Amino acid sequence: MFNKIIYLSFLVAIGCAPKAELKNADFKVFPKKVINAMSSDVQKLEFETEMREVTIIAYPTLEEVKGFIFTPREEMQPSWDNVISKLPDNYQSKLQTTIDDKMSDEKKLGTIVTLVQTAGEVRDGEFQNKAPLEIKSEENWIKIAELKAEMEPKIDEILDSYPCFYVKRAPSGQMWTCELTNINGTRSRPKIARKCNVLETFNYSNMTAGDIQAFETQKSVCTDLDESLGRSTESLKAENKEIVKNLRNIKQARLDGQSVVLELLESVEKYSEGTFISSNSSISKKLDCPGDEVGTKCLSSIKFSKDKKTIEELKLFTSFGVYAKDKLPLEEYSLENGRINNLKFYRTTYGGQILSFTLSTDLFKIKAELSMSYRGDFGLRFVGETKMYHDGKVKRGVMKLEIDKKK
Amino acid sequence: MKKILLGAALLSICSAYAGDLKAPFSLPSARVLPKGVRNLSYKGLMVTAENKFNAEGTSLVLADPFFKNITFGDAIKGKLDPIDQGSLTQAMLSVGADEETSFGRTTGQINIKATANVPVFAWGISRKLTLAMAVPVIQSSLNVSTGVIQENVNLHNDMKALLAAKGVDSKIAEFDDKMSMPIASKLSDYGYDPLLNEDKTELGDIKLVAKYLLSDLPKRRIVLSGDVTLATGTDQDVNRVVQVTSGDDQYDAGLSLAHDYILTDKITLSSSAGYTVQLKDKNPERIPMFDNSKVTPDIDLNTSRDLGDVVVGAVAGKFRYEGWKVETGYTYQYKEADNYSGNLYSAERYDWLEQNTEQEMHTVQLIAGFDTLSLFKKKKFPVPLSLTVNHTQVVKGKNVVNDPLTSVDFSMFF
Repeated sequence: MFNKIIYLSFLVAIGCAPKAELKNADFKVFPKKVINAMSSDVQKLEFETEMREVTIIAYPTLEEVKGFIFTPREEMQPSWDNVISKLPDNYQSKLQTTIDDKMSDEKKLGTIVTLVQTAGEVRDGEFQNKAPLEIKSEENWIKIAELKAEMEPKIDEILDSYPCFYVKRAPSGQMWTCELTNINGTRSRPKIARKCNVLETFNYSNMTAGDIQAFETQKSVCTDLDESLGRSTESLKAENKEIVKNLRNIKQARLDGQSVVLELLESVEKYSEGTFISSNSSISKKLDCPGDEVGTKCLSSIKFSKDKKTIEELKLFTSFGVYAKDKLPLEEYSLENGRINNLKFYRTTYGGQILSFTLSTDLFKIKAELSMSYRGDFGLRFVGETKMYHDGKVKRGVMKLEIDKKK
Repeated sequence: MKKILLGAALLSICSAYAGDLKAPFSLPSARVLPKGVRNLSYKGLMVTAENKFNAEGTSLVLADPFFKNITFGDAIKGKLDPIDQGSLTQAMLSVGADEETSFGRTTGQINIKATANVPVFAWGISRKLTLAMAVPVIQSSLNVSTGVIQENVNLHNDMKALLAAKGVDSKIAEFDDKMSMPIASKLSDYGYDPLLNEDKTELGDIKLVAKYLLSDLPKRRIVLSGDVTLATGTDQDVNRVVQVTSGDDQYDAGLSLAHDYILTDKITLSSSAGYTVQLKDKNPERIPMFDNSKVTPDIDLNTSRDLGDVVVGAVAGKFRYEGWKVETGYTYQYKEADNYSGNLYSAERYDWLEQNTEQEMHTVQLIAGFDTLSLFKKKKFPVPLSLTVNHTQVVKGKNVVNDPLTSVDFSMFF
């Protein structure tokens, strides 16, 4: 009987399994954005081979920022102020621009990253502002040329209609005594007015009252045309002058953006002796080719196959480090010389286009995974993260390759 | 005959519920088995777990930790690498947001049904001493689902525009993806197993009980009980965030005193008081990254754990007539906060693990039953059996599951 009870209890114990109700949690999401980085429109575009700009930086590790403090140098303050002035008030008020010893190492590293990316965003934002200004300036010059093409022949026609055949040159500031035709011993080459106000100094001796009236009318028409042309072109020229000033400011802000990043990362290089900065030869910063050939510029370049599905050439002219223990002079890193390898150019399941490769220097390797994008204002860009393998450590960083569309 | 108070491990959810208070399913009793009498009973406990009391005593759904605003602040704090924290901070500033700005909120649903089948074998060793062993087998069914309610369309669009402006188009799809399943994405980043529905049967923590009759007077009885809970159940898996566990992988030792006052031959008033020590041990634990963080990537496989000790007090009134019985009672339980320490991370982070582990539970019970003992004694029934049904209602508490519990107890004496 005891055994039977045990058996029955066991049966009860493993029987009648409960079942929890199947309920789904609430769910509401916005439509996802469809990405197609290598769309047929992009495939049809032609791009320059030489890169407009190349950026390669590495972020320090937590170990490298231990004890690091940073305050912008006094002489660099205007650059910092200029970069920060480009940010919205709310952004400015929350941005930390100094690193002090009270901050945790994590906070220090996070602040460095925030500052580097802020400077990058300011540079991008200014670049975005640059293109419309350049277009506007070009449009203005075209308009000025069109106005001149329309007005100047009419003015010239009036000026040419009133040659001054003279016997004797008039002293400076005096009236010229003129004839409309070459008679009574006047010189064979007449004086031709090149400006409307010069006609005011012409006094024709043998004109009828009707001719004088017509001359006065033409002088007035000439002056009106000249003034109208001046008014129209002056406003356009003034606008272009303002654009030139703005473009200068943009250039300065972009330079300041670069300067603040360099100051910050150079400070970390000085402090930790790690390698974080690179200098890259591109259209915007043409550097001499490696070796002794001074004066010849070598620019970083990229070349696609016709269908844009493969990359046939990738060449970077880069130097690494400023104050770092491990510095490398400008050298060529390319598929051709094998210092860029493992190159892959592929489409992700999300529709993104990725370029990945390994750049091998004599001291370290950089693995890059860059996302491709094309925009009318920025052109073609490859932007993404890098991992630098150096002295048994891995440092994260960023790389950006920018290429213009062919005009 | 008598009942043996069992404290079989029922179920627990996540570490916050390991070694925690459970609703009782019997009332205090100062009775022991007569010498030589053996008793085999089956206790079947049916529980659902959908609600709990929080630290302030407010009733919340069990999935409450899933209901969170997805703020920039939490997203930044949740990033493992300071480089990612710096990047996200820059993105936050760039879109004109602050740490409180929210993308929406996460949602969740947890449904649990469990049955604890507890065969209990008791033996009257002597007139005063009864030994018992309870072997819980726990069957459970867990349904878990997580979701998201995206609310701030402008912020979503601004973030995508920012990523596009930075030239990282491929990150836009990644952003869309992560924001459409933020909980699963975060769990994956932190190395947790994916959330899964699960039906299973597991052995619980076996409990050994000894009851000693200290005093047996016509009007009162006093029994001293000692018990040991063995770590035979399955503790939480450190890689799972929602799980029904059948034990807490550590040993408990308890001592209690029960007192019966026999008012009349039909009415007994009972009371008890007990103290259970949850012994210290080493256990793998996820160590929170920051105050009140629910998930974390950091594991200390050798965390020193001292689950809080438990104090129990109960009173009951019992009416019995011709084999029928009706009992009612109230039980108060209190568990001290747990204590964690370790060497892998800062002491502050281990302290965060202790948050919301202090527990309190007030329960009322109603029991009705019938036994054939008197019929058996009169030789009118072939075997001495008893069948009781218990219902426990959690009326108040702190950091405990508050769903009601229903149990059935079928006992046979031989």
